[in-house]
Amino acid sequence: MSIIQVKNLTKTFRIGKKEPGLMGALKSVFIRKYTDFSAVTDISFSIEEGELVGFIGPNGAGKTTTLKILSGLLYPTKGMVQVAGFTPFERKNDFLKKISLVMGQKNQLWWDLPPMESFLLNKEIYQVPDHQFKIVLNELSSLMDVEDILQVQVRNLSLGQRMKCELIAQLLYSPRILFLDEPTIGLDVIMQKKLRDFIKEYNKRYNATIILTSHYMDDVKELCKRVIVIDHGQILFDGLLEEVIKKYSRHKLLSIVFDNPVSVHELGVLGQIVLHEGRQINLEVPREKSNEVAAHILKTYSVADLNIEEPPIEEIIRSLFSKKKQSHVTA
Amino acid sequence: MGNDMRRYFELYKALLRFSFLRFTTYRALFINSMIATIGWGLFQIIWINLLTIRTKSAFGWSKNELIILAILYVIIIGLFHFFFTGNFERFSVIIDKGELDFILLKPIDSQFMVTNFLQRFPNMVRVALGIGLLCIHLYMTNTHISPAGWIGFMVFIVFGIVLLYSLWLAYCTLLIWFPRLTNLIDFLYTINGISRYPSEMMYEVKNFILLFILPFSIAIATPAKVLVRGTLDGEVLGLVFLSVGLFIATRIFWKYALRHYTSASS
Amino acid sequence: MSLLNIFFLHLQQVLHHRLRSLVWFFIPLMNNLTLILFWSGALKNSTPSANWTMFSVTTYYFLLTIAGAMLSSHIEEDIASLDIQQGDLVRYLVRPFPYYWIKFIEEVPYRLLQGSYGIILLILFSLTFGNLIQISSDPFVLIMSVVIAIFAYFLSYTMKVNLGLSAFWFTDSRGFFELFTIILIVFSGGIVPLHLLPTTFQTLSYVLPFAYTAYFPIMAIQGQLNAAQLSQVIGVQIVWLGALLLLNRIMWFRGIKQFTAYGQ
Repeated sequence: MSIIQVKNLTKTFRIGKKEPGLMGALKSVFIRKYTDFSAVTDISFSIEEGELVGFIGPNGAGKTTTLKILSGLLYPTKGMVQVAGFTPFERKNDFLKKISLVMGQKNQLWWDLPPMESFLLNKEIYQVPDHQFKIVLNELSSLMDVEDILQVQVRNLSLGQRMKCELIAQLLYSPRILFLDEPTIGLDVIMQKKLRDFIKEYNKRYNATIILTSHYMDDVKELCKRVIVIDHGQILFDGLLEEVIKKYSRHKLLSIVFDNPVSVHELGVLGQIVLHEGRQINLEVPREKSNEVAAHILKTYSVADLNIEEPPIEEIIRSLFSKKKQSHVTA
Repeated sequence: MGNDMRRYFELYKALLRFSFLRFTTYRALFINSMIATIGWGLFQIIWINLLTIRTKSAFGWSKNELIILAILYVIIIGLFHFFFTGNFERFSVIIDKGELDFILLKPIDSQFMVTNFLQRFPNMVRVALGIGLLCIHLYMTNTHISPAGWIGFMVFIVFGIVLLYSLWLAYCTLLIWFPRLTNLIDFLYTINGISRYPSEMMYEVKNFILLFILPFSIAIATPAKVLVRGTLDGEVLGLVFLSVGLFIATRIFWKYALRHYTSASS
Repeated sequence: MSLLNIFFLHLQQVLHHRLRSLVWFFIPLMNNLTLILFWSGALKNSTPSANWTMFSVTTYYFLLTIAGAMLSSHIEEDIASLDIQQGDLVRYLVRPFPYYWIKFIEEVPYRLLQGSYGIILLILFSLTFGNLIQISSDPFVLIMSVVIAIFAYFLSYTMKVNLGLSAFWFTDSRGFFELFTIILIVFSGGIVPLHLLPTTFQTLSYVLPFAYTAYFPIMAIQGQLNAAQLSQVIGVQIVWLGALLLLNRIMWFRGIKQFTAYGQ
């Protein structure tokens, strides 16, 4: 049986509306208008133990809402959710000791004290036995390379060190189900890589089930074999990552900066011009031909810079979304 | 059950240690909180003396009893501020910034975690000040307190504090619906201040609004009467029922509010 | 953008905070109402006094609430923590207007809002308990009272600005602020009117500036002061205002030098 099961999950919020301006402010004293906002609509999926799944979608797609429902912070409006045999929103202690929700930008560590103190408090809260605490702490801190800063006040740590300690605090009780919500947001490239390596290691070593949400394609590409693409509260795709990329982005993007102005007609033969600004031209070419075309351009023209890129995830999703719309129309 | 109690006891010790460490981390904060606490403690004494400067009695309380009431206020409120107020002040931050999420994710009763996270150590000085002033006053006015009075007093302080706790919890739970009303806390400090007066004063006003305020008044005046007059009258029963009843009611209210709570969106 | 638009923008913001402002108003109101309630019982057993009866008690505490709302400044916290400690002060230093006046204009909308709550209260009160209020109807007295009230606000404001500026030298001044507030409450007639204090304290309170921020404006509008006394009050207010402004200039120039030399 899957460790995470979601069936027909729907969550709607009521939001108060206020009109702008002075009249609006006065009106809102007397009458409050509400609208219903559907964060997720009728989604279903299941995840096996030990899987590392990526949850991708643009901002406001419903990723965080889903994670919060899976961890018991929100009540579903409709549908069934089961995690490790528990119903999340009942928030039973045994359930809470198995999971961890890490939200990228929020911090739990107390500012004025060393991280060690917050760790000790968590140890008490999660009832981690002494010897286990020592072992896990040593493992995690050496994995993250933070052994020597555990006694330094949190306020004196760098952002990277703080984030590592935040993560350790969340993993001290060895949860086997992790929900990581935008864990790399706001970090520099080196930290992002370190964090990804760590997540990979944690998944391998402990056979932990991990759901990762991100709107950075790189996070997902490196870590997840399987992705669930969600937009406007609905699942657009659930399957292997390579399928998404293969199926829905048949093109690659060549962004070229030429030394001299170039004939647009000539280039237009090689592929579709999607951007032309001065000497920068972005060319969309079929995936299989991208290397060939790039080599040809480098040979034929004087080029200052050339990049071969995947189209951004938003493009893929937009195309996924329009495909979904199309299929509705044809059906 | 016993296991649970022990667990929460151990956890509380850890929290106490945590608060104490924070308290001693900054010397300037330490000194300033001491000054502020002692200042306000002394203020209560000045306050009652000014009010009774030409008054022999009010509402059936002699001037001496009124002064004792004010001193007891310093002690009981000092204890209340030590254990709980810091946590209630954090309520609006926790709710508004979505920190309540972190607390809900922990395998610990949320009400316990939210209302017991911080202890404010400077208030121990206020309590000590109050005890000192009480002893001095009792000695100087030759007032005798029976042993039953002392014991009864200490028992009913507990009920009084539980009552105040439940009242504050009830008002602060409202913040889940109105997260911006952060100065509700300051309002609660003021209502706390009502408990400096004899509870008989509240009975004078037959206004149903005071129903919300009367419990505050009973919380301190009743233990005071037990101490000073050594009597156990109907009001004492009222205190016990009110504190137990409200504690249960506010816990139900808290759980209801949590159902309503939607965490701040990312 | 015209000045009118800026005003409306501010007004909108203030309306947005109307609930909070109402709570801030309610707090002293509650305190004072309970004091009235207390006196209703205590007066029966007090040594009788000509100008301390239920009439004067009720009027005094109502006027005290209004004076507290309209005439007392709370700018010290803003100056000490936001401007000096967190460094927002630099924004003001580049403006062509004196800091003293900018902060003044910042606080005015809040005082106006609180003042309107006070006036509503006064109207409600005179409608329900009209016969309990003792306010002078003499136009001369009323004009003098308004003058005294204006000076009272400037006194309170300047005191609080100076208090806030102490943050130039003290990293954490909370304890000091609390002590100041306690002394202010006692000596401005915040607990009982000053004429009830024992003689030495009474004399002390007439010398200190605090009485002139609340007690004397209240006494004035109640018609309790004759022309000579009214002028005397204004005189003392002017002297104190001068002294506080002088202190303000000294603190400002010394403080700014230190602030810009060492950063925050």
